[in-house]
Amino acid sequence: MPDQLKEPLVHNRDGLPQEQLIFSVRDSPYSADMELLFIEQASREWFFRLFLYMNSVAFVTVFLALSGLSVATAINAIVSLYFVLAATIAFELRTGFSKPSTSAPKIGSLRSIRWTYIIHDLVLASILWFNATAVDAAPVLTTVGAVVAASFVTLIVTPKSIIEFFIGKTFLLFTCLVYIALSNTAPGSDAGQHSVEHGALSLFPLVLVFILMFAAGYWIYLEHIRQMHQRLLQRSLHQQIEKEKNLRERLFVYIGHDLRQPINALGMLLHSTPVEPQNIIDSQQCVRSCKRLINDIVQIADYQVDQLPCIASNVSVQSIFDEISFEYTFEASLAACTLRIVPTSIVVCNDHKLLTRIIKNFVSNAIVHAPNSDILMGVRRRKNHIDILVLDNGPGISRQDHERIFKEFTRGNSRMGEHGLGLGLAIASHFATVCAAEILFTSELKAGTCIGLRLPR
Amino acid sequence: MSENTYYQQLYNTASILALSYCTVKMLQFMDGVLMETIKGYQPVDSYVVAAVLFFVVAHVLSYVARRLSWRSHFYYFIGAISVFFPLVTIATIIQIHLGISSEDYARYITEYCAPAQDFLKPVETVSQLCGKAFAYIVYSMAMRALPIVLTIPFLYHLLLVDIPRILAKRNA
Repeated sequence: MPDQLKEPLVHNRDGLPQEQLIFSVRDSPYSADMELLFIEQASREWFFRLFLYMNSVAFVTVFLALSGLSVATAINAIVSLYFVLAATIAFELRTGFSKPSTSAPKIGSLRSIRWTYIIHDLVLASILWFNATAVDAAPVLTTVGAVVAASFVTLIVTPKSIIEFFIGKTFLLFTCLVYIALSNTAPGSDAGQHSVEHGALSLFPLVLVFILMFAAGYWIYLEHIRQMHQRLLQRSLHQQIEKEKNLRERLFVYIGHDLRQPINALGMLLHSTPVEPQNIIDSQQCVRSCKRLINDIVQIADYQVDQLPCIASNVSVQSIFDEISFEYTFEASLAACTLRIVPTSIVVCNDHKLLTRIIKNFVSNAIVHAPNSDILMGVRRRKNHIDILVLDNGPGISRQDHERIFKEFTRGNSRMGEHGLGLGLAIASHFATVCAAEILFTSELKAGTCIGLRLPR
Repeated sequence: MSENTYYQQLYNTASILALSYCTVKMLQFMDGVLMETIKGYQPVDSYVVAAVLFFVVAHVLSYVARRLSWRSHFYYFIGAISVFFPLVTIATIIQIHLGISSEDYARYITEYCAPAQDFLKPVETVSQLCGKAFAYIVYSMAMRALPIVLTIPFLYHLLLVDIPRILAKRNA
């Protein structure tokens, strides 16, 4: 089945592509591509991520030193936290993408990026621990305020990966709360250095700030993934346009060649004198060939538009068979085929026009590619679905060609001048997708072909 | 900067050395200006540390830029701003550990740590320096190095990206 037909776009009533609501990566059909894009982006930004956190650590620690933190603790904090930051980035680079432009990102790298995000938030949280254990410490609320402010600044980096963002920030909030609680209960808290006045009241702004941080982080995350979704959608549409352009070019080439040939032949036959019975038969064949090509071109219009509505109604399968029998019995007789129908009373809820077109295509293919054969149309009832089948005992199709015949412009062997553009089955596949049906196909060389449509009951 | 030949590396090293010299000269100039304009400003004699740090970091930055194929000015300016403050902090830490003159110690303690410390005692260890003094050193070093952040990336890009690119084009 052609790739472009697998996932038809969802359209609104005006026929425009419907805007999809995206609240997480999973809501986008491009979630796998998004992950790759995320890795690619993270691999380009590791330098800035590292230095953003290094700056945050330096700013917070120097600010705390200004507020009373001892020099030895400040220096210890800076050196050890820089080491941790550098080590995580080195680990991330080692596991994944030291050469992002040349090598494909690995699965392991995504995990290491996520761990880096969490660890970097833990690094900020650990400044609280350094202050708590210092002999000369900065005031508790100043420390918490500085750490939370730095954490707010790093929002621009972390929300690209939402789970890690929530884990990191929640841990930071938890650490702040524990730090404040312990500072109030610590021996010597009366001294004022490690104590917080108005205990519980001081927690309210902290929790409020974290709620704001979560909201802002989620908003940044949504903006980011929506941008990525748009970019991937554009890329996908561009590829589709390229493919359709290619298809159209090939179509014009085929039309130019295949339609001109029978018309030229017809012109020559009409000018030939005297008119012989064989010339009339050949002329009819040329006309049939032209008709078939024109039918294919008409069907292409639906295929290209990609906006086929599936108008469901109760459809009697027998009525479809009768219509096809009326239309194709004469054509089958010309190809020395016998067209038989197994009567059925089954009624399905589907689009009558599309089902008819699909089954007509199957029968028409059987007549063209399996001359001198018996063609049988019937329905097989299953537990949850029904199969509408068209069987013939013609030459069959080799196994290696089974996949190929559903591709565009693939034509099998047929009687002289009777082939179409080779789009019939590709179009039928597209119609089947629109009808929520599945195409069944089995064929053996010199045994015949069974092609059908599986419909839900 | 895409090529990594011996001559290219030699050129990079020479350029970074020249930029290190520029940095030291600019620091000296800024110290002079700040001493004139800000009352009580005292320069910290860390030109060697600053030059060595600049040399190492510039080399690392050059390696990263080559690896990540940075071409635009933007990356170099953002890169310089990113490394600026951590670099100043590291320079301060190194400088404190290498040793500041006892006069400077006494001055810092008198001006910033007086209520907490007995400034009449001789100062011997880092732990006797209070946090405020440390913050002062970091901030004053950041202040005097600020013009470097605004000018050196341009020179860096010119010397290590633009000129090699022009030369490569001409050779091609």
